[in-house]
Amino acid sequence: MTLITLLLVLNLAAVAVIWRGYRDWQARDDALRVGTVVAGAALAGLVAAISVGESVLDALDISDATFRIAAGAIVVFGALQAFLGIGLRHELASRAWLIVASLVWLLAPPGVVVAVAIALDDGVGTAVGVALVAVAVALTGAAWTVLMGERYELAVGLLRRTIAAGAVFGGVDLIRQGVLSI
Amino acid sequence: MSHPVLRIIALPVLLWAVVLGVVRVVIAPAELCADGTPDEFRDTALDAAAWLYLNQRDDGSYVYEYDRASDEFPDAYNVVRHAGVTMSLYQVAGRLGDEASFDAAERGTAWLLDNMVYRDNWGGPTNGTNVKVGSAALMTIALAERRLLTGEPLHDGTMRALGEFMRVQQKENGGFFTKWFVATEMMDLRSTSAYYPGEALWALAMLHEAFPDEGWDVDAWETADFVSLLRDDEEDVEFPPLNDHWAAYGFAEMAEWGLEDQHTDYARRLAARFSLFIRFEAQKTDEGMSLQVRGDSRRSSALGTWVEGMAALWRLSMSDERLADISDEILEQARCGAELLADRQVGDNQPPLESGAWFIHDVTRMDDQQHAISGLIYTADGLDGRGQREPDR
Repeated sequence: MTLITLLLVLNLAAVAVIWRGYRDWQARDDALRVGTVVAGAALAGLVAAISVGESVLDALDISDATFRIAAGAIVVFGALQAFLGIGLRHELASRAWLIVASLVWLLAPPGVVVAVAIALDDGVGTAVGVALVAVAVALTGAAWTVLMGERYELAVGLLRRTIAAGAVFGGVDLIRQGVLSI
Repeated sequence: MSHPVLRIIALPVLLWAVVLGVVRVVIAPAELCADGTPDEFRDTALDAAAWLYLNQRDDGSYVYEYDRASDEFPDAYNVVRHAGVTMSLYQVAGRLGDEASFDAAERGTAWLLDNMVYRDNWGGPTNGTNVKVGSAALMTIALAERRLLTGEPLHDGTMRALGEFMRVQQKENGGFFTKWFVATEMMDLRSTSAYYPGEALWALAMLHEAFPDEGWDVDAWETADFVSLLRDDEEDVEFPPLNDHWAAYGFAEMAEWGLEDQHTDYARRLAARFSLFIRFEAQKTDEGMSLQVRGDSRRSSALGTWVEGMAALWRLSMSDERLADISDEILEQARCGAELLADRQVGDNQPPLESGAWFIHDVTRMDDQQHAISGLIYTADGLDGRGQREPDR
């Protein structure tokens, strides 16, 4: 379930909303180049978080069980943010800002805490693998919806809300796991 | 507002900083669990036992409650808790070899025997008005502890009479009526008790261990099913499972009998509940924002029971493969709770009515010491890898 939650909190449709704010897309190759840069940076950020997550929790005197409850709350908040679209709509004037805006979303606390939760449960290797898949899915999905053009605006919005609703369940499940942990 | 740095970076960062700050304060404050040692926990238990026996009355009763601010003793007593305190003193005598505790437990037992009421083949200690299942159960356990320690059959007849009282009070579904009225010689058919079934479970298990050919295990199994499957619904427990450390003792005692899956499933859920409570307690600092958000520390009669429960579930996890995967986590949480107890105890060089006790709002009650003692002793044993609860004779 936690693996699916990472896919949900990265929310490919929310990334698509950000990407649709960049008006100067030129071609499929353009999306591929931006996507590669964002994917590399996002993955590096998540791997860094996964690597230091346990040490940070120790330093903060937070047990794994309590962390899961906190992570669940953060995921629920992030899901509500995605559902309502808070902070997602930008008129982006350059590729540089497109990349920054994408990373601000992908490396926001919901994605980071879920990745760390996976690492605590299943190990760093699994967490890195899942993060790789989740980032790839989010960016591929975002690129695909961008290339589909304006007429799918409504569909992207519905997809974003549907995924966000799913993330709420993922967050609640994390809280449940934390409460039932020892 | 229109600058991209503000829109794209600063606002999200600010938003999440606020959210993470709230999460840190409300959900995930630091859990202050030091690495206490078995010797430290045993010393703490001995100091608590000293509070009990140094303040024991001449008639064998204990100081029930003491308010150090007003230097007063509220006029109240509770037979169930008297039996529980006596049990904990036998545990100190058995596991820590403390003779003063044994002598005090003997005086406590004499008080219980003086207050016994007998009918037909059963009996139980009374407060003058009624005989409660909880009193009978904890007295049974106290006498069983004594029997394990001394090997003497001195109170075997009383143990059997107490057991028969529990049998009389047991319902068809394995639960219990709560008490029997002395004046009317009638059972209380209305009231219920959340914790008496767990107390009776352990007591019946101890009876079977003491007298293996007398069928006490049949009653214990019925109680075990009631506790693990029905009790929370019958008692309308809002967030099950009820944090019942007595049940944890009972199931740990029955581990070698071969528990059913529903019992170990219940034990796993129970461990999670105790763990949640201990973690929550470890987050409290009793000052500043923590006090506002988390409230006061709980009294040691609450915290002590969670530690007792975890220590018992650790023993169970050492005997039952189905719980082996959570054994280390259980013991670590028990250690955390025991360390909190050790930190909060009133230290030496205080008046006898304070040294060795735990106070909340300047009040201590005898079961504050009782539950802390049992939790500390068995957590210390767990940290030493001792999975046997009984004393070495």
